[in-house]
Amino acid sequence: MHIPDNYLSPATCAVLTTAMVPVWARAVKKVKTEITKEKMPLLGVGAAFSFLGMMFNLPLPGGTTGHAVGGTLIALMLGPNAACIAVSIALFVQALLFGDGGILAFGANCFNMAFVLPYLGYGIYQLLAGHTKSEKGKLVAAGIGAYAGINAAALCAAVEFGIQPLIYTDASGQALYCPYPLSVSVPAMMIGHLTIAGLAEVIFTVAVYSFVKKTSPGMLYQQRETKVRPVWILLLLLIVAVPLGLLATGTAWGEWGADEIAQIVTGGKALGYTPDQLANGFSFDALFPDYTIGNMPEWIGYILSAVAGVAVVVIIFKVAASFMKNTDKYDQQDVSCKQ
Amino acid sequence: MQQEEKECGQIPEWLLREEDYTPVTERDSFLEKTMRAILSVLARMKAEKEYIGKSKTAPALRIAGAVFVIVLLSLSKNLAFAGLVFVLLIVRLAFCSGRQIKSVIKGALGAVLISALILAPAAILGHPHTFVYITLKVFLSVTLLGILSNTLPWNQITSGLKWFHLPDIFIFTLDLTMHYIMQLGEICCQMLFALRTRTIGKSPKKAGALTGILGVTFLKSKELSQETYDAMVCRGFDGTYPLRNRKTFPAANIGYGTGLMVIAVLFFYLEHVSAG
Repeated sequence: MHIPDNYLSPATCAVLTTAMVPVWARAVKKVKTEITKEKMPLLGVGAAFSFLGMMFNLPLPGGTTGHAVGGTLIALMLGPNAACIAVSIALFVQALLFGDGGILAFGANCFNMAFVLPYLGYGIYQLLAGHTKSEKGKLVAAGIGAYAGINAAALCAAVEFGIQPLIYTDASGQALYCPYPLSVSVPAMMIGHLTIAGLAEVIFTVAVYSFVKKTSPGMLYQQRETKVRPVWILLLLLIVAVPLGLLATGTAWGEWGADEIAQIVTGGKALGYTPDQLANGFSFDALFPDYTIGNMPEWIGYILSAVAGVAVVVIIFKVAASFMKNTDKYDQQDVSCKQ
Repeated sequence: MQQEEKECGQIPEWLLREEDYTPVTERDSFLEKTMRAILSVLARMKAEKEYIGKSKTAPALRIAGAVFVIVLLSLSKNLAFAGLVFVLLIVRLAFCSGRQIKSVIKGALGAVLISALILAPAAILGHPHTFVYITLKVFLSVTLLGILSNTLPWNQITSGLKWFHLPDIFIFTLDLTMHYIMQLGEICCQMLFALRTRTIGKSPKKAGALTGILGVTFLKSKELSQETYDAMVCRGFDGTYPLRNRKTFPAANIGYGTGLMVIAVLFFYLEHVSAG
C-alpha cells in the first residue's frame, strides 16, 4: 500500500499532503494533552509495531504482496491521534531510510494509512465495543475495526491510483503516472486486502492487543502495571521473524519499479510501455533501498533494517518526550482509559 | 527654643509623602536569564553524575573501541560496513535518555551540515554517492564520539586517558577544569542570586554587575586552585595519577572486546565480499 514516487501526480500529492496538515496539527495538539511525558516513549513502541507489521509481506492473489499496518492496534492502545502520529513517523522512516513509499507521496501514504485507517478503525471499534461488555466481544470489535480500517485505506489508495490515467495522459494517450484506471486498480487492490491482507491486519491487531492487555495492562489503562519487558521481547521476536516477509517474492500492487511496469500483465495483457514520469520523474536514493544494506545477504539486511527502523522510531519519540514539560495530571484520565 | 521643639515634634515632610514608586520592569530580565543558563548547565552536569557510570566496561577499552571503529569506518569502502555501524549506533542511541540523544544528535548534525557543505560540489558534479557516503561516515564518527562522551563520566575519561599514557599535566588540567566548572558555576550563581535580591526594577549598570561577577569569579578561582592544590599535596599528591590496578576483569570487558572483534571480522568479510 506504500505508494512510490511518480505513481501519483505532484498535484495529487500536494492535495493529499495539504489535507494531512490540519490532521497532523490536531493530532499533535491532542497528543500533547492526552499523553503524558512518561507515556510518550510508548508511542515509539506503537510505531515500532507498525513498522515491523509493514515488513511482513504476504503473497496476495494475482502475484502481488500486501502487509498489515497496525494503525488500529496503536489507536486501541494509545488513541487515534497517537496512532496517526506513530504511523506517520513509521512511514517517514520507511520512505527516508529504506525507500519504501515515496517522498513526494508521503502525504498520500499518510492520508491512507495514518489518517483513514486508524480513525476509521478506532471509530468502528468504539461503535461496536459500546454494545458489548464481554472481553471477547471487544476483541471481535477490535478485529472488525482493523479489517474495516485497512480496507478503507486500500480503497483510498486504489482511487488515488485509478484517477491518474483519467487526468494525466500524454499526446498519444499514454498515462504519465499510474497507468491503471479505477476499473483495474480498485479490484486489484481490494481483492488482496479484502482477503489475505485484511485477515493479516485482524490477526496482527487482535493478537498483539490481547498480548499487551494480558502482560502490560498499564500500556492501555492508567494506574495499572506497565511491564515493558514482555512488549520488548515481542518486538524482538518480530524482528527475528521479519525475513519471513521475504518469502513473498512478488511486488506489491502499484509498487513496481520503472524497469518492471512495462511487463506487468493485467487482464491478460501486458502494459507494454513505461509511463513517462515513472521513467523520468522525481528520484530519491534512500540510504538502504528496499531494506538492503550494501552487499550484505538479503535476509541479514532485512533484519538489520528492522532493528534500525525500530531504534529510529524509538529515538524520535524519546527526543519528542524530552521536549515535553512534566505534566502529571492526577485529576485527568488518560485517553486509553476511555475504553 | 520654641522653634526647636516644633522641629523635634514634627514628622519630617519626606516621611509623610505618599510613596508611589513603581520600578520600571525589565523586559528581558538579564539576571534571570543568566542564572537560568548557568543553572541548567550545572543541573545537567549533576544529572550526568547521577545517571552515567552504569557501564562496567573499562573506560580505556571503550575509548580504544571507539577509535578502532572510527578507523575501520574510514578504511571501509562499501556501504555495508557503514550500514552495520549505523544500525549498531542507532540501537545504542535508542537506549540513551532523551536528553542524551538530543545532545548527541545536535553535535552530529552540526558536523553533517559542515561536511555536506564541503562536499556539495561532489553532489553537483555528479558524484552523489560520494557525497552521501562521506557524510554518512562523518555522521557515524561524530555520533560514536557523542555517545561516548555522553555516557562516560569525566573521571572515567581521565582514567581512560591515563591508561593511554597521556602526560599527567594534561589529565591534571582536565580534571581541575571539570571540577572548577561546577564549583565556579555554583559561586557565579550564588552571586547572581545575591544581585537579583538586591535589584529592583531595571538595572542601569548591567555591564558593571557582570564584570563585577566575572572579576570575583576569577579571584575566587585563583584562590580555589591554590587551596585545591594545597589540599591535594597534603593528601600526598605529587603530580602523578596512579592507575588503580584492578585485579578483577569484569565480564563486560570480555563481552565488549568480543563485540569489537566481531566488528573487525565483519569489516574484513564485507570488504572482501565487495572486492570479490
